Amino acid sequence: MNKKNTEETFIQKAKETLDKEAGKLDEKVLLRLKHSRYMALERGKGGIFNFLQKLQLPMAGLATVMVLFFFAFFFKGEQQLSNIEDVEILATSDSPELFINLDFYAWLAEENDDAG
Amino acid sequence: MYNRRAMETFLASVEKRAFKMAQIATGSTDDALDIVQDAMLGLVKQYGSKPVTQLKPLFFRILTTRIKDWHRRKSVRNRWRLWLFSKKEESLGCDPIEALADPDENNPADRLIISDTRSALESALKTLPFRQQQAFMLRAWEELSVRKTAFAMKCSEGTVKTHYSRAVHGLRKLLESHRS
Repeated sequence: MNKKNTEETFIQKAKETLDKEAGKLDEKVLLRLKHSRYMALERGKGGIFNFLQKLQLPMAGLATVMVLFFFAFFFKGEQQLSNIEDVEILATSDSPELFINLDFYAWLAEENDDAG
Repeated sequence: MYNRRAMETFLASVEKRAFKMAQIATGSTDDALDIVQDAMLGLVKQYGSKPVTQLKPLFFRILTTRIKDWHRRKSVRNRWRLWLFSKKEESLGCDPIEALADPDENNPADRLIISDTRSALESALKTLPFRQQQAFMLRAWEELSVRKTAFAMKCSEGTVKTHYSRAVHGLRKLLESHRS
């Protein structure tokens, strides 16, 4: 029992001594520790770059995804344009036949202009 | 979910002790700072979303691994240095290691300062084998349970008990002889 108490006292004193030692670190060390902490916390903050890093998404994969997105938007844009043209055709008072044979009517108008 | 504030509080609460542990284990302030930084980054990267209550053994597990890696690298470096200088010695006929300045050696004035500022306990801790040193620091100073210390040291609970008991006895013996 006495031996156990002595051991506990020794450990307690050792702990106090180590705490004192840790409490009197110089400014440079404290500054470095603070900086390290800040860096670690910044890493944990996240953001798209960290997110990708976490996913281990390779750069080639990322490039492929970007190219696919570009094409998807490009074709979608073209489709939207043709949709607008469709609406114009439907909205006009001219006969749909005019648009079907548009080349012919354009040629005919040119011929009339030359004749006139 | 990553909780920056909780993580900051945790890191601030352990950083000084972690630094002292690394410094005692390596004997170098700069290396100790690098090791602590690595451990912090590792903790946030790998376990940033864990609850704060689980962080302590995880952090000290990373720290212990980094210190072990440092010792491993140092022993490899020393082996290479010894091999290279033994080759030179053969060709020069003298012992260049004797001529090398020991970075750990201090002049009498430095020694006096060190004896004033460093505790006898710290010096005694440095003489212990690494595993005993770690077991003592984690059990006595960090007050980790045997189970958590075993997790941090990547060994069995029985091994922790053995190392800890040897460390306590070794330290008491060293400090008693220091007093007398």
